Amino acid sequence: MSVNDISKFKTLFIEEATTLLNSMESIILQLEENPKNMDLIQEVFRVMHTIKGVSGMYGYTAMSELTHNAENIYDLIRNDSIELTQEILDQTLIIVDQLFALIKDEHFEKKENQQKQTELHNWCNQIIINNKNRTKKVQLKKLVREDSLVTYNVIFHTHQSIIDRRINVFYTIKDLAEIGEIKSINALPVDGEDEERWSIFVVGNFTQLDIEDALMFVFEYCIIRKVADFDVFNTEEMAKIQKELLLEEETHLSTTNNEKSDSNNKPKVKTETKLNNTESMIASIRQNMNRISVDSEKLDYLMYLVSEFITTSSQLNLSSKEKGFESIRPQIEKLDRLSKQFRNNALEIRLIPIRDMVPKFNRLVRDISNSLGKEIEFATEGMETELDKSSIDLVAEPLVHMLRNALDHGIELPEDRIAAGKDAKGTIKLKAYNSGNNIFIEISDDGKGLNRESIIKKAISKGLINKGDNLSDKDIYKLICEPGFSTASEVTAISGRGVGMDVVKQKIAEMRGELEITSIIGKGTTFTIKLQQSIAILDTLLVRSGKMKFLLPLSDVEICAQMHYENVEKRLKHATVDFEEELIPFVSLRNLFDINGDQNKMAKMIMIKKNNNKFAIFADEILGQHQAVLKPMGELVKSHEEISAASVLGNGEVAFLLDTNSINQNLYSKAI
Amino acid sequence: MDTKSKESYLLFRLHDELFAVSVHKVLEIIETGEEHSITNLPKAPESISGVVNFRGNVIPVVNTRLKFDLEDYNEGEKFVVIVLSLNINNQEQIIGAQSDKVVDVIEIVDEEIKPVPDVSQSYNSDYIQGVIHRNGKFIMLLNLEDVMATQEIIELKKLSSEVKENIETETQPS
Repeated sequence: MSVNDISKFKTLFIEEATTLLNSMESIILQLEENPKNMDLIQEVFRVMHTIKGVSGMYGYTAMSELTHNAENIYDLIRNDSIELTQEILDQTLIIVDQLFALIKDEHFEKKENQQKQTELHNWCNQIIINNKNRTKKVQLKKLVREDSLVTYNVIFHTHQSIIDRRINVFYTIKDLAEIGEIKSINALPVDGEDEERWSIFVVGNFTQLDIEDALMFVFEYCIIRKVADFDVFNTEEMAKIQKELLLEEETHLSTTNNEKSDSNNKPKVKTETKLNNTESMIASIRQNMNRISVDSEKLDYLMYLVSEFITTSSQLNLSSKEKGFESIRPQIEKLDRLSKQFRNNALEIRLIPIRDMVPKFNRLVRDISNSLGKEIEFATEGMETELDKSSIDLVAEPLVHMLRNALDHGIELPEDRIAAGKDAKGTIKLKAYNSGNNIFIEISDDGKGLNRESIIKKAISKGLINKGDNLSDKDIYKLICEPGFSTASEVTAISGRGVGMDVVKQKIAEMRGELEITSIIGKGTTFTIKLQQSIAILDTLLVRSGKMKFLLPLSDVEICAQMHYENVEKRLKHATVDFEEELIPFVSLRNLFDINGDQNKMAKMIMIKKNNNKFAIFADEILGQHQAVLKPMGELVKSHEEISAASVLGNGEVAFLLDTNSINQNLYSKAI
Repeated sequence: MDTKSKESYLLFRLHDELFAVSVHKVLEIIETGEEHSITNLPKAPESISGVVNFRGNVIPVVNTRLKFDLEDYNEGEKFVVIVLSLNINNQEQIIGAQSDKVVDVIEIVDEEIKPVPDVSQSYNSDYIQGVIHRNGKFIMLLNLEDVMATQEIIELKKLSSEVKENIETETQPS
């Protein structure tokens, strides 16, 4: 293995450990609700065990030591030796935090991490020592069965998928060695290059459950059979039995493997308490693990190839039409269709359900509500809604700000809520849904709502508005997103000094999204973020001015009309045009980008509606719709305000995407 | 024989100067025509002539003549765009550089490259990596990373004549 390979595996490890820790967080929070749920406890144990294994493999010794201790505690819990207390749960969350910190601190160099590590080790040891008396009993029980040796045979079938999941075969064997003595390991014949099959004989005093536990990570790849109620390796018949088993195994392997593991799983299901929520949680975690995690750079490269492919294919389509290659037209049209399907499919790969963010939010709500002394129920809806990976990354930050705001400023203290005739427990709801090409994410609370009057007062004192300005509710709520605005009478540590909302607004604008606020006093507030599903592909209107081509987001276009260029030029100094009895601010692309040259008599007007503001853009010609694959333009030309990206048209020409948000802001700030 | 380390360089002409750039940095040479015309970018810095479609990506094109304080291309004058992959500020950037003509690909032995003496304090000699004297002509090896990263206009004529003078006086006694 070269150095490169190791570093590649290391990033894989970091990805995997992060996923595991995230899932652990959500399980712990579930356990708080149902501390008696065996499946959840088992799950914690399993995850700890996996992290211990992989972190040890990649040299994260501190991580593997800590998980080892934590795993021991959960082992005692599942054996009923320790009761799962709130203290243990709280500490487990701290352990998870520490593990997150250790991922980033590979060589365990940070002082605060070392200190924390010692504290946690001490705590773990204390828990185990406190319970030693009880654990002894369990060991005694085991001793009773001392002389009842059994022999098990395990056929372990590895193929590429296990290796991909980075489950180390040797760890499995090591786990087996802990429950009994391994008497023999034999390689069995295989069909493919990627496969390996091993027959392992284990002798010891353990039960079927013990061996299943030891093999829990590779369960689906194993056939476990009890060979005898004694140590067969003491007898001469051993060779004979082994032969028989091999024969039997060869015929059974392909057909019965699934059935076997299914029937083995069944007894477990029976013990499960009926908790739909828990089941679905575990299912979703398992589902998570079945997913392939891919480096997002690889996906970016795939997208790059796809868009190049699309461009080439539409160039081919265009030029074959022009040159009249009738005989190959059907194939070219098919290629065109296929390439569009290909693109849609590739885009879908980049989509991630919003659910992936929820565990973090759960944790946030729990921690903050505890520290504020507020009782809060965090509800979610539509978490299966999918969003582009890059959007998920970007939207997380504003969502956290908004959740903090809702927790801190929205929801009242329990006594205030009771006084207002509400349930002592407040509710914060995260809801996501699609509508058309847009994704909506809502955060709503049933708290005290936004106080219109105090916002107005504050805005006047800050000079944001004038006394007597006639503003709609929406306009007033928008004021809280202005920089430096804070309605909270007290500045708290949680949502800070009101810098939150203007960051929220800015981040959402960066994603070409919109934010809307509605609120009813005494009933609660709802923040709605509207986003495009993919920020890499956009439906646009293609327009031309002079030789230059521009794109406008189709969703912003309200109406198209035309007007004499003479009239437009006359209105330039007023910066507004008269359209349907309304004075509307405008930009002329010729003017904005200093475009000269032949000019038509008529100018095309495109009315844009953005954030409830209207403005007009004048161009020479409207060329039609274009599904644009957006491309960044590189560092050298980044300084552009009105242009946010570029796209390559079917004929290889480049068109620029106009940033309607910034044009809108420029126009309206000038007007004020 | 071949123990000396050789490298291939792309030789190109700008005005009446010859330049060389390691072929490892060259991705493609775009012959501009109708299909591959440079799209002007409004309000861009003066030394950027616009953007061009390179394999489905949009890349900026540097007007090297303006960058080096030479006479700009006339309307309709032919040129090519050399697409370069450069490591600027620890980031791979793909940039097009306008050039009058690609002349040749030549092999240069390391020993042939003469270091640039500290010419004068008024110019940053870092822009030139070295000079090669071949067939009575001077070929300048540009340090493209530095040239492209800077916003300033480099007065190439003065720089190159000073470099040449210096090298000639240095090599004469031998």
